Amino acid sequence: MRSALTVALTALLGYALGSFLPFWSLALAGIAVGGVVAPGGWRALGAGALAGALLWGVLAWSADHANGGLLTGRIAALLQVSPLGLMGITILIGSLLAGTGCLFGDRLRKALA
Amino acid sequence: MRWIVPTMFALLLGFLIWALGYRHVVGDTPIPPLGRFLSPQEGFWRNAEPKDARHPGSLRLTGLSAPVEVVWDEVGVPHLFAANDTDLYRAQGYVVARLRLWQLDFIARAAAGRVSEVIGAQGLEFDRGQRRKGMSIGAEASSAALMKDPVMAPLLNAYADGVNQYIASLDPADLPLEYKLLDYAPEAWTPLRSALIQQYMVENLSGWDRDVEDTHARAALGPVLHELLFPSRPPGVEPTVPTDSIWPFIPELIAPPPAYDAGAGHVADKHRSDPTNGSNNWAVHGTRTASGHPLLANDTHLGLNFPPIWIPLQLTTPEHSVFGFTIPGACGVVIGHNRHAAFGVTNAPRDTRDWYHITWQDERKQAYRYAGEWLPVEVRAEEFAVRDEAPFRDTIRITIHGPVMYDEQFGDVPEKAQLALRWMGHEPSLTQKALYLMNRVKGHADYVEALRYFSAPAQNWVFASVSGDIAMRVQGTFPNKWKDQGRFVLDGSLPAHRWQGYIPFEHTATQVNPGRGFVSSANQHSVDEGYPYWFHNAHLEYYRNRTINHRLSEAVEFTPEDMMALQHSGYDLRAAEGLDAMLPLLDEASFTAEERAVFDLLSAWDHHSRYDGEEEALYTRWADSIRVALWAPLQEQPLPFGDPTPYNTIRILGDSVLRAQVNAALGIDVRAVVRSTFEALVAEHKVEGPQVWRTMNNARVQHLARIPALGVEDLPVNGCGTAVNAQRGNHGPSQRIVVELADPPKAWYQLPGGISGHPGSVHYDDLLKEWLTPTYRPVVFLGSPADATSVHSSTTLTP
Repeated sequence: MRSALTVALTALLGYALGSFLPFWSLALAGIAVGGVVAPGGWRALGAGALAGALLWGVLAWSADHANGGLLTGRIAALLQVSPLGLMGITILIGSLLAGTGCLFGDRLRKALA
Repeated sequence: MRWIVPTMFALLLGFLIWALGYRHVVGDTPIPPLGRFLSPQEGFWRNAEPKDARHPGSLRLTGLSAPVEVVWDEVGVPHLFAANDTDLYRAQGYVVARLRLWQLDFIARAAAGRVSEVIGAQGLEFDRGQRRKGMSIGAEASSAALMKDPVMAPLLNAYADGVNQYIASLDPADLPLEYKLLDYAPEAWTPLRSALIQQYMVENLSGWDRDVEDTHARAALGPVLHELLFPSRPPGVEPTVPTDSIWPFIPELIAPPPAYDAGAGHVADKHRSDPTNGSNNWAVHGTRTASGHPLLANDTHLGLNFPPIWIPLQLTTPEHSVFGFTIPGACGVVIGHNRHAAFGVTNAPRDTRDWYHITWQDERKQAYRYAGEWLPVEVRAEEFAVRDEAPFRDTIRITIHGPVMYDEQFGDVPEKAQLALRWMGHEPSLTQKALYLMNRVKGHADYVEALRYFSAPAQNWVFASVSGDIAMRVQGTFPNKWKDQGRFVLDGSLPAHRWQGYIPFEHTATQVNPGRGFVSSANQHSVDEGYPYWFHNAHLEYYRNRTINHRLSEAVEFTPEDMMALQHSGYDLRAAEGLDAMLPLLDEASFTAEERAVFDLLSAWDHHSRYDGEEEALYTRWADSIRVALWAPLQEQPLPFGDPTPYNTIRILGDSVLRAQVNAALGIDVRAVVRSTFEALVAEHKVEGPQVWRTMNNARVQHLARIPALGVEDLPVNGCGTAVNAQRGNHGPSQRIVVELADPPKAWYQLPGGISGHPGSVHYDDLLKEWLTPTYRPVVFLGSPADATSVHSSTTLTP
C-alpha cells in the first residue's frame, strides 16, 4: 500500500515541481515523498524509480506521439541510438532521479527518527 | 553511525544531479547536460511540437499602438497586418524570433567573431579572422549611421524590442532546441546585431579576392603570361549591362600613378568567403510574354542550411503591402513584390576589397609610413570569451587603409609581409533604408530612389512593374579606381594608392526596357569595355548567364512556367564547351573498347546535368584532373598562385594558338595532358563502374551548426554549379521566386526547407520536397486578415 502511495505521490509531486523547477525537482519529489511516506528500504528505491519511469515515460511518449515521432527520430540519430532507445534512456534517468531521491528521503527520515 | 547511509545516498544523488545537469566534453565531443536535455518537462521533448499545433489566438506585445493581426498560412508563412510602420516592424521582430530565434542569435554571434563563446577554443581561429577583417568595424559604422536616420532608427529599435519581448517570454524549457543541445542562452537583440547580420551578408557576397595570388603570379610569370592565364576580361563574356549606346554622363576618371613594385612573399587570405555565392535574376518585358505582363524571376545561390537564410512573409500597413523573402534581423523584405512592382537581387562581383602593404617604422609597430610621414597606428584591443577556457586577448592594428589582418600574432606573417585590408564592408551602409523604400516602390523612379541608399554588398537589382517597365541596375558604392588598382597588392605608403572617391550614383550601370526585351544577371562581368570606369573582379560567372540569355532570346511568348523550368534547368554550358574543346584532342584511332564507350557516352550527351546520369560525373572528374595536371607547374612555385579559371582553361584547351603559348611558356604539352587524363578516367571507370552524378554531387541541406542528424543528404537534384539550377553539394538555390506583373501581380515561390527553424516542427522541412522539382507554391497575398480561410490560423498581437 505504501509503495503504491509512494509511486502515485512521487509522480504527482514530480510533475507539479517539474512545471516550474529544473529536472532535479524529480529527485526533490522523491526525497519528500520517501521521507513522509517512508515505504522502507529498497521498496523506496523501487517505488520511486517506478514513479520516475512512469512520469517521464508517459510525458515523453505523449510528446512523441503528438509530434508523430519527428523530433525523436532526429535526436535519436544525433545520439546514435534508436527512438525506442532514446525513450528508454529518458525513462532510465527519470527512474534514477526519483528512485535515488526516494531512497535518500526514506533513509534521512530513519536517521532523523 | 546512523548518518553514514543517508550521507552516502546524498552524495550519490548529488553526483547524479551534477553529472546529468552539466555539459561534459568527451574527447572533442560535447555532450549536452543529459538530465536537462532528456527531461520531458524541460528538455528536447518540449520542442516536439504537436503536428497539428496552431499558433495562439492572442499574444501580448507591449509598445504597439494598435493590435497587429498575424495570419499563418497552411505552411506557416506569416502575413502581418499593422496600423503603422513601427508596429509592423516590432511585430516582424517578434514573429521572426518566434520562428528563428536561434538562427538570428547565432548568425549575429558568428558575424561578430563570438562563436568560441558557444563552442569553445575550436571556434577561436574563425573568431579572430572575423574580428581582424573588421566585421564589427563595418557593423558599428552602419548601425551608427542608421541610428542617425530619423526614419530607420525607431523602426530598427522597434524590431529589436519585438525580438527581446519574445526572448523575455521564454522559460528555459521553451528555448529552441539548439540552445539545449549546445547549452547556452540567447542574448538581447539590438540594432547593432541587425547590422552584424547585414555585415554577414556583405562578407558572404564580397569577402573574396585573389590580390595576393595575382601579385605573385604577375611577379613570377611576367605581365604577358599573367594576362594570358588570369585575364581580367577574357573574350566571349556577356555583361550584365552591355554598352548599348553612349553612356549619358562624363566620367570622372582617375589617372594611374607610376608603376610600382607590389612585392612578393605575402600571405594569401585564409578567411575568405565562398566566391561562388551568387544568384540568377531576370525580367522579361510584356511584349515577349504570353500574358502581355512582365515576368520577373530570382533565385539566390548560397549555402543550403537548416534553417534557410530566407524567411518568406507578407508585411502590410495601410500604406503598403509586400510579400517576399526577408533575412533574420532585417526590417522588411529583400526580394519580393508589392501591388505595383517586383524586385530582386543577384550579387554583383566587383573588387571592393584591396590589400595594402604596410611599412612599419620599427619593430614596435606603433607607426607606419604614409605620404612621407610616420602615422600612429590605432590599436583595437579584442577580448574573446572562450567556453571552458580563460579569455583570449588579441590586438588589432588599424591603419588609414583598414585593419592589419595578418601579422606575427595571426597567421605568423613576418614583418615585411604585413597587409592591411581596405574593404567596402568597413564603410557605413544605409542598405536597410534602401530595403525600406524598395518595399514601398510604385514605379521605376521609386526603385532608383530607393537604391540611392544601397551601398553594399553590391547587387544587380532587377525590377519589373505592373505598369510594364523592366530594369536592371548594378548597384553598390564602388571605389573609382585607376586601371588595375587593387588587382594586385597596393603600396600603403602612397596616397595615390588609396581609394580616391567613388563612382557617382548617376554613373551607375543601368538598363531600362532594353530593345532585346529582357534584362538578366548571374554574377558575370557587370559591364563591358564600353563602360568608362575600371571594372575588375577575380571571380566571375561565365556560364549560367549565357544559358539564361540564350533561352530568353528565343522567339517564345514566355509564361511563368517557362521561368520556373529555366530556374530548374540543369543544362551545363561549361560541360558543353569543355567537351567541345577536350574531345577533339583525343586520338580516336588508338582507342580501346572502354575508351570508345566513354568517348561515345560523352559525345552523345545533351549536356543536361541529371542526378541519375553518369555523364556530369565523368565530365567533372575529367575536367578536374585536366586542371590539376595542366596547372601543376603553377602549384610548384614557392608562392601561392591559385589556378586559372575553368573558363580560361577551356578557352586555352580549345585554341591551338593559346595551347602553343602555354606549351612554350610553361613547357606543358596540353594535348598529352588531355589524353593521359582521359586514359586515367577510363581506367578508373573500368575499375569502379558507373558513378551517377547524385553520388558525386551529394546535394544536401545541412544544419547551420553542422549537426548531422538535423540535415538531409543525398537529395535527387538535377543541375551543377554552372547550370542555372546551380546545385553543388551544400550550395545552391536558397530560394526561388517567379512574379507575373499582372494587376494584381501573381507569384510563386520555393524554399529549400521550411518556414520554421525548429527541428521539432512539421514546418522545419516541409517545403524541401517541392524545391527539388519545378513544383512552385503560389504566393498567398492577402488583402486583409478577413481573407484568411479555414486552412489558416490567426494570432492577434495585443498591446
